[in-house]
This record gives sequence, C-alpha cells and structure tokens, in this order.
Amino acid sequence: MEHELQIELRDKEGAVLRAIGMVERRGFRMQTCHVEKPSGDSQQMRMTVRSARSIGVLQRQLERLHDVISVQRRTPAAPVKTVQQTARGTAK
Amino acid sequence: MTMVAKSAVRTRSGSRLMIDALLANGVKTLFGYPGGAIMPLYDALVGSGLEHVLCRHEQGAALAADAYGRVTRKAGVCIATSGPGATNLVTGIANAFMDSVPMVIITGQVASHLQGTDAFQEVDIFGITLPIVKHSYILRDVSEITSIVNEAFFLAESGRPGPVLIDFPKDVAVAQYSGDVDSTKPVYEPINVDDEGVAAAVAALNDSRRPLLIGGGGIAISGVVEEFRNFAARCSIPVTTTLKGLGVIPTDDPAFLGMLGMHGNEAANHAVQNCDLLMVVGARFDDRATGELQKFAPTARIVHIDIDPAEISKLRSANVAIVGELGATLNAMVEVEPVDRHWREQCAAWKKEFAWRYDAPGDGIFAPALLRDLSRMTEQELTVTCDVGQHQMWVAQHCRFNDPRHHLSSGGLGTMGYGLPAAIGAKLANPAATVVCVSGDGSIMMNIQEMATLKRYGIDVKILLLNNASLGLVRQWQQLFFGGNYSEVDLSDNPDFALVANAFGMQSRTIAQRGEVTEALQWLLNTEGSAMLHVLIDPRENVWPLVPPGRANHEMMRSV
Ligand SMILES: Cc1ncc(C[n+]2csc(CCOP(=O)(O)OP(=O)(O)O)c2C)c(N)n1
Repeated sequence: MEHELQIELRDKEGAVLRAIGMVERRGFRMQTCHVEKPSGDSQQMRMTVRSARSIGVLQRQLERLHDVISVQRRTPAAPVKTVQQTARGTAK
Repeated sequence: MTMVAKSAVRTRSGSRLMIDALLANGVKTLFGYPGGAIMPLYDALVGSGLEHVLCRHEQGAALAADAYGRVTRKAGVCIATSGPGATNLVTGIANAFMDSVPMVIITGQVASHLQGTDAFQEVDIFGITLPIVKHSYILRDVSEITSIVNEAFFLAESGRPGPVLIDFPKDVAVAQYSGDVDSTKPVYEPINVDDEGVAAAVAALNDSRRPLLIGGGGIAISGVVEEFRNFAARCSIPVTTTLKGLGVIPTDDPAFLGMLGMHGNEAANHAVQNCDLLMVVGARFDDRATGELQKFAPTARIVHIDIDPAEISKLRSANVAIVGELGATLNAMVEVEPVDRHWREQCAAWKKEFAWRYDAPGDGIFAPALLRDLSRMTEQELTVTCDVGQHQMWVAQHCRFNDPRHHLSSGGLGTMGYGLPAAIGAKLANPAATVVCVSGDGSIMMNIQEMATLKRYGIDVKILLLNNASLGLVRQWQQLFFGGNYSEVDLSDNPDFALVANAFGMQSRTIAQRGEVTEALQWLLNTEGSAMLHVLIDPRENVWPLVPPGRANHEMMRSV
C-alpha cells in the first residue's frame, strides 16, 4: 500500500532525520521525500511511503516525536494497472 | 506553560549553568564517569552539592540511573565523556527506552569547531541514539542550557517517560554567560478523561461473561497501583500481569493468576486464551507476553488503555481504545458489575491446577524453591533486581511482590548486566530498602566491575548468584529447539565467584546442598553490608513451563 504523508516539523537539529528514521525503522519504504523550509521556524516534509503495515500506527508514532508539529495523511488512489502488468498478472 | 521567569544573574560558565539546572530539577544523585570532553562539568561538580556516583563502566552508570528512575519515578541522571564514554552508555539508554524509564543523559562532546572532523573521541552520539531516545539535543549555545535542561526533564518524566539525551560540547561548557536565563519549566497537562471511551469500556465489560484484566508496566510508571487494585476489586475481575506488571496486584491476591506469556503461569495463559474480553492497562502486547500474535486471546474483544496513542492497535487492534491517564481512567470506570461467578471459579480452578510445584527430586538446590523462600523471609518486602536468563524468569515466577517497584527487571531489552548496577541505583534511590540482586554466572560478569562501586560507597546490596556453570537460558533453547547442539554456552571454567567477591571487599559463601539453603539465606540477609551468596545449581535445570516459538500461549511445554 502506498501512502502520502505531509509532516510539519519544528526547525530543530535532527528533526528530519528523526522523522525519516521513524518511517524506515517502523517498516515503511520511502518512495519520495521532499523537505523545505518555507519560512518561520518550521519545516515541511512531504513523502510517499510504501508498506503492508498500518499507516495509522505510523502516523501516531510520528506524532509522538517532540519535533513533529502535525502529520496529515493522504492515501493516493490505488495505482491503475498497466496493460503489461494486467497481461502478466503481476499488478499489486 | 507557566509564566516566564527570567532572572539575570552573575556570570556563569556553561558547566555551572548545567549544574544549577540539574539542581533546579531536583537532582540529588547522578551516575557517571569522567573524561576529556566532560571535564569542565566534572570541574563544576566539585562542591556543587550533587552526589556523583563513580561507576566503573559507563554502562553501569546508565543502568544504575535507569533503576534510580524506576524507583523514584523521576529522571535518573547519568553523565559520560564523548566518544567511548558516550557509546558505552548506549545499552543503558536503550534499556530505559524499551521500558519507558525517565532518564536524562549528558554526554560530553568535542568542541563545536572540531565536530565533523573525526576529532579525537568524537562520535555522533546524537545520531547513534536517535532511535532509542524520547528526545535529544545538542547544546549549541550557552544561553540555551537552562531551558533545554528543563525541557529535557519535562519530556523524560511526562506522558510516557523515556530517556532524553543532551550532548554538551566542550566549548559550550566553558563559555561564560551573564545574560538572562529563561528558567521556565514546562508544566504537564493531564489528558482529560475520555468519557465516551470509559462508557464503552464499562459497557463492554458488563456485557462480557469471561473478562480478564492485564496489568502492565505503565501502572508502576504512572504510580497508579492503588487505582488499579481498586478497579479490579470493584468488579472482582481475574487479573494477570506482564513481567513489568508484577506487583501491581499482590502475588498472594486470590484474583491474581500469575504472569502471562512465554514463561508465565498456565492459569494466566488459559484465562487469556479463553476470555471473551481482555482489558489491557498500560501494556503493549510484547511478543514474549502474547506468544504467536495471531493465536493470542482468539475469542477476546480488546479494551486497551494507554497513555501513548501509538501503542493502540499497533499489534492487536482494540475494540475499545482509551488514550489517557491510567489512574483517572480507571477511577472513572465506576458502573461496573461484578464478574460472573462461574468464570471466576473457572479461573480459580486453573490457578489451583497449575500452582507452582516445589517438590523437585534430589538433594541439589532447586532455585525456584530458594527464591520463593527468600522473598518470604523478611517482613519488609525485598527489592529484587535481576539479570537476564533462567534466574530472571524464576524470580518472576516465584518471588512475591506487593509493589511493582520492588521488582526491577530488564523487560524490553533483556539486558544481561542490568542486575548489579540496578541494585546500586535502587538502593541509593531508597536506602531503607533491602536490595537483593539475583544474577546468573553469565550475567554477573557483564558488569562485575560494579562490585567496586559497592565497596567504594559502602552500598549495602546482597548478591544472590545462581551459578549453573552455563548460559542457562540459551542452553535450554539449544536443548529444546536446536536438537541439543550446544554452542558456546558452557561456563564451567568460571572464576570462583566467592573469591571474586572477597577481592572486592565483600563477604561471601558458597552452597550446593538443599539443606544449607535456609541458613545461608538468613546469613545473606543478616550480614552487615554487601555480601554474596554463591549458589551452585544443576546446569540441566530448565525454566518451566514454556510457550514454544510460534505457538499459542496455552500450548505450554511442561518438561523435555
Ligand atoms: C547483553 C546480552 N547478551 C546476550 C544476551 C542473550 N542471553 C539471554 S539469556 C542468556 C544467558 C544468561 O546466562 P546467565 O546469566 O548465566 O543466566 P541463566 O540463564 O543461566 O540463569 C544470554 C546469553 C542478552 N540477553 N543480553
């Protein structure tokens, strides 16, 4: 299952590493990750992650990090099978 | 947050600010070991009023601070230098993290301009410990010290506690500061009781016919043993506990079925597998408690009460989830009806059927019986710390506990070497306690150097060493699950531990016969100061019963 997360972080040393570490160590593979610091003292992180595990649990694990201000999740629609995948029966 | 209290004071060094912040957070005792990068802090320690305990290995210091934190429910503090000092703390930090123990760790760090240059004794301890801390900081400016230390203690002690690390670069420690200090301390705001959740939990309980209560480590951590007992008594519900929950209900309470899980009591495991409602308070479905998760409590609805939302439905989804303060939540569950008598009778029957037996054949010393006797010998309950292995499981099974903080065991991490430093921390946290460290011949060697700490400070800790000349628990698994292919578990060339104890200035005795046990235990408890009772036991003895890997909790093996 692929999920999209939008994480707002305090602009503190280690905040990004902590969030990424949490995602990976709790059994999710990062597909994309984008970090920026628009202004003020927070950072915005957007990532897509993949796992068979519960995204709700990961969200709560991220939320309990002291540097995490908020976590929004948006689960993208199931990927559309390509013709080739359908033919080979490999679509997930 | 309270009002901001700013005070301009005299010029102080970073180290002095650190000491003052520790004192302001109520620290009296800290555990540590000096070295290059932390020398400015050690310099400021002299005459500060803080009692520093020099352990003989940083791991010992961290584990002693862990136990100090468990007993006082305030952050235990440990300090070490950069590099190897800091990395030696890692096991202790992980131990505190896994068992949700409040701890503040201060590590020296090389000066800021040297960081990132592979300087002498530079390691990225902030990075190394990221996954095993609740939070951490690198002090970048002397002006932040007070507010960061205040926040560190707040985070370590509030909500679900845990270790918080502060990396303290040498240049920040020696910098002078005379500006304003923000001494504001964050204030914990308890979570409001979830009335809807409480109503749902009460309804689920009253609807159930075979409910069971699991008490976990969270009860001791949040100091709500009384609330837990009152709740259990209100509905006369049968109770089991996790390893860390032992003592939340007295061992001798008729409603208590024993610990659940891999080496739990069969009565507790049968109750878990047959209940229709499992109320889990401050526990996290650890695999040693659940056995094969898919087969755990197959007919039960789950009511899960925990302060940490991230534990809810992590491993077993909850039918009713309450995130909140355990005590207030339990107190709010008033309208509960007494549990069905037939179910209580069934549980009582299991309890009788699976009561521990102590009638082992032979003249050799049977460790379960010895531990049972030890914990019932004194009027004032003993505080027992243990290491990891068979002896740890025997302590959990056979010692009597009326208070969870009298049983200090490394649950989540399973750290061999915890017992002796933990005994030091526990004794200093509560000098009135009689503290016994129950250890194995493998584990004692992991932090044996802390015997020097006992001697140096005259700390009265009794060591009960159960010597089976092997890494018993590993040997047992090799016997049962690896076809008797014994690999690196023989310790028959152990040193003479009684002599080792003597060398550290401790009295000792060695026993090997059952007939000697009572008198020797009395000797141990009545000896003034620290002492060791060295007990030779049969290397072939196993911990029973046991849930084999991949099996459900009720499918327990009782013998080979
Ligand atoms: C630091 C550490 N290393 C390895 C282990 C794995 N381990 C678990 S129990 C055990 C044997 C412990 O032997 P001992 O202390 O003699 O206790 P016994 O089981 O014989 O009572 C080992 C090696 C561990 N838990 N901790």
